[in-house]
Parts: sequence; C-alpha cells; structure tokens
Amino acid sequence: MRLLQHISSLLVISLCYTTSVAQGELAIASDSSNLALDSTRIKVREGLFITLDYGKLATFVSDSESKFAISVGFQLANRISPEIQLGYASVSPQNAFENGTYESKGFYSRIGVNYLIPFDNTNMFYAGLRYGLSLFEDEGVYEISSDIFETFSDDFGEQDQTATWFEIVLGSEKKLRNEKVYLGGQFSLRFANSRDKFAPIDTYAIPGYGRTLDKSVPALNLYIKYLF
Amino acid sequence: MKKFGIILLVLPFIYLASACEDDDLETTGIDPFFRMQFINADSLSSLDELIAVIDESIDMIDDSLVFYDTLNDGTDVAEDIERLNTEKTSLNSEKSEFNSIKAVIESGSVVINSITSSTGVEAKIPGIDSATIFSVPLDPSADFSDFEISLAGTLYDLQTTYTRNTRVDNDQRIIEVEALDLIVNSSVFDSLELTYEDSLSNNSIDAIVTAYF
Repeated sequence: MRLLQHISSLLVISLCYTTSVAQGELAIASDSSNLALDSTRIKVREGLFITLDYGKLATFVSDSESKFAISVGFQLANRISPEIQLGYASVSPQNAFENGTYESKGFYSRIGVNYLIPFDNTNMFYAGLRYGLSLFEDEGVYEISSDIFETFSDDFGEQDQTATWFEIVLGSEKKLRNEKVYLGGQFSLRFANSRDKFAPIDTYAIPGYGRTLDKSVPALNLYIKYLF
Repeated sequence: MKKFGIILLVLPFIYLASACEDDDLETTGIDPFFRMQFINADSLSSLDELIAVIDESIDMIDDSLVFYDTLNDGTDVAEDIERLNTEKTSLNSEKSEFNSIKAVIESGSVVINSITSSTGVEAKIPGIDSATIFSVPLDPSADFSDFEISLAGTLYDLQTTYTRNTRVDNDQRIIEVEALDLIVNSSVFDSLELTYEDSLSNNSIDAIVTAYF
C-alpha cells in the first residue's frame, strides 16, 4: 500500500510535470508567434484507439500474479471518449493469510467514458468514470500445526463469483514521436458496488478490483495507446 | 521528457521487485487449547486431618493454661505453664508449616510428566502459562480430543468434546479453528471443575479446568 502511495505520488508529480511542460511549450509558442493560445481551442483528434496495459505485462515474470488487459475506445471531437476494457487476472497475494495460500482468478471488464482535456497537441489530461464487472473464482488451503496432534489442513474456495464496482479515473498521456502512439498513466479509485460474500472465509481479492477488505481501492495503470 | 518516459516504463518492474515477500507459512501457535491445573485432593484431605489434630491439642493446652490461671493456692505451676507454652508454640509452628504445604497444593503446583493424545503423536510436555496452569492443545481436525496425562508417576485419562468453529482473524490475517462449548470427562480424576475467565465466553481459550486427584 505504501508503494502504491509512492507510485500515486509519482503519478501526481508526472501529471504536474506534464502540465508544466505543456504550459511551458504553450508559453514558448505564444511568445514566438504572439498568438494567444487557448487550450479550449485545441482540437482532439477523432478516431478509434486501442490501449495495452504494459504494466500488467510485467506480472508475467511474477510468481504471485499474472495479469493482462486491453482496451478499445473512440475519441470524439467533442472530447468525450467512450472506452471498454477486457482483462484477465490471476493473483496469489502472499499476505492474504499468514497460515495459508490463496488464489483468485478470472475475467473482468470495464466500461466507461473519459472527458479529455488537451494542453497542446502532444499532452492531454482526462477524467473519467467506469463501471467494472468481474467473473471469477477463488481457492485456498490453510494449515494449523499442533504440539501433540497431526497438522490440520483444509481447503476452501468458491466458483462462479460475480462482483461489480465503480471507478473514478484521472490520467494523462503524451504523444510520442510516432503520431499515432501515446504513452499514458492513470490513477483510479475503485468503489465496491456488489459482490458475493461467504462465511467463514470470505473472498480476499477480486480480479480487476483488488482487495475486498477496503471499501475503496486505489490503483495505478500505465499503458501504451495506438490511435488509428 | 525522455527520462519521464523511461520512468513510466520501469515503474511496473520496480513494483514487482518490491512486491516480493516472504512466503513461509506461520502455522504454529494458532491451534485451539484450554488451560488446566491439578490439585492433589488426597493430600489436602490428609493435611486437613493433621491440622485438625493440632488444633485439638492447642485447645487442650489453652484449657490447661486457663485452669492454671485459676489456681490461687500457692502451688508453683510456673514450670508447667512454661512447658505448655513451649509446646503450644511448637504446635503452632507445625500447623503453619502444614498450611503452607496446603496452600502450595491448592495453587496446583504439580509437575506434569507428559500429555499424550489418542492419535498416537509423540507425547509432549505442555507449555506452562504460569507456575501452576498448563495449556492443553485440542485437535483442530476433530470435535473431540482424548488424552493420557502422566502426573506424579500415575496415568490419568481425560476426554474432551467441543464444537469447532472456523473463523478469520482479519487483523492478523489468520484462519483459526475455535473450540466452543468444551466438555471434559475422566474416569480417574476425583473430580473436574470447568470455569471460564470471561463469563460471557464459551471459547476454550478462556476455559480453565481444575482436576482434583
């Protein structure tokens, strides 16, 4: 969680950095051309896009999690950008239970919309809302040792689980030298809406959402985007 | 700006590297148990009889001393009074010693040689909560646990039944098996007394069983 906070802080710094660079570029442009640039006049390029969450690709070298997510959306000239994301995650958080192992895996989807706020022709902020749905299963094994009895071991798990949530999203992206490729990052705060609950051992992690112990879950995503 | 892009590319790997954690399971010290103390009732009974005899002797000496006080006929009884007082002091000292031994027995300071479970797992000396109270583990895989307790060279059997309840300690992130509504029986102990430290609890970890033998 502390690391996530650091990363979130880094994202905020990067957002500020992007803003300052963008504003600096605007100021230079303004000085050189004596044109009063207004960000509201910057046009958003319209078109279909796909994004790949490259941060999740790094999980394929991890023993404890494996994730993949890809999005498809459309940028409209009116700065509205609907988007749908599909993903798969298998997570085995090692701190789920001190005396057991746990795995949660399944598919998830997010559908939502962003409002784009361009600073110039290369840098853009956006804010958005998402609705998430996850179809998944979880399982685990726990052990209890004894001084005078055999070690007790039992398994648990539930199939066909469903969870939904809402997300608030803030992000920024920058166009690379290739006119169609963008590098971006987004911070989201997820709020649980509904999920199946179980006793005595409840679901610990939901693919696409995160830990169930907290009412809201912060998340950071880094992506590369191709705008057709 | 290039450095910024590099940072974004490297971030996921930094996250994964820092997310590596110790994956050893902590499975000890979380099994259900109850606490037990042992009181040698036979010895207590013998001591009570001895103390009663001493009390009777002291009463007789007191009566004699009162009698000597009433004598006003010039008889020299000083030597007898001194002898009786010496004897009374000696008896009181003996009584005090017996009471000390009784207090030790009543506190349950009895050495347990071993506790063996019926499953045949190696017998072990139970952990000691204090000088007098012993933790006795319960089998988390069954609704009963039977024991053989070796106490002062004698074997005593003990049978327990309970209701198991699985729960998650969300603070410690531990899956526990609780033993509720504990019942204890024995064919060898003189009597067994089960009390809960917390009167509202029915969890075995709050139970203290006193065994009289």
